[in-house]
Amino acid sequence: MDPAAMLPHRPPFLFVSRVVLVQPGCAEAQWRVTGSEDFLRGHFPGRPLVPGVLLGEALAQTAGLALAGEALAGAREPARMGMLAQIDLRFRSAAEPPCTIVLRAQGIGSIGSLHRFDVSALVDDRCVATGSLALSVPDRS
Amino acid sequence: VATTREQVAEAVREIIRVDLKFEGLELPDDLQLVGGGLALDSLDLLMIVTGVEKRFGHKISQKKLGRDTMGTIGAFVDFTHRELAEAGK
Repeated sequence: MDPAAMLPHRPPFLFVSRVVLVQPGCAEAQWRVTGSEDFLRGHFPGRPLVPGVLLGEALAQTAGLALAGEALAGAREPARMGMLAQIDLRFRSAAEPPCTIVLRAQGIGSIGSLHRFDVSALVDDRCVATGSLALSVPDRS
Repeated sequence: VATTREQVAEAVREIIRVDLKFEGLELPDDLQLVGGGLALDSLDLLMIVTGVEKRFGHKISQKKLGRDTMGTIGAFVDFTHRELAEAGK
């Protein structure tokens, strides 16, 4: 599955390289970080580390895939742009490129246009971030 | 063993204090969740509902959530306690 077909984000702000699994309310994706990304020149010179804030964005995009999965299954209207409404992450260890970051999002509940997810990011089966976030999907009007 | 109302009340207050960052605040049963009182928004309510669902392993139907079930802390505790009892939890 092409992530660009399921998400409105585009390079250089699309952090899902590969969609592994999309089901209603849950998704797994990968972000391949090669080490040549421009932001790594400054974060940090001589010791590149994936910024936590971008890990959070990558997890939010993975949650967006889970919402798209609900639309594919006919459980909701076709996907619209989900806006990050809340995020609470704990960073357990550093993601040092080159690496492939496994991103997971599991829906845990919704009220109206708000959808909450448990999320985690792993590198080589090692947890680098875990927490929860909420996406808001505004009405079309 | 069935979940007691006190256990539900303790969980709801913990979620409000820790997850919603209202630490140190008195949280009586008659405190309004929406409008006056805590003046929570829909994201706060979603965090309370999903927090309770996680703690007690019970899914609450969105259709049952409204002013009568989420008007005050006590109303939500009573509603959740009833839900758990009906589910045998």
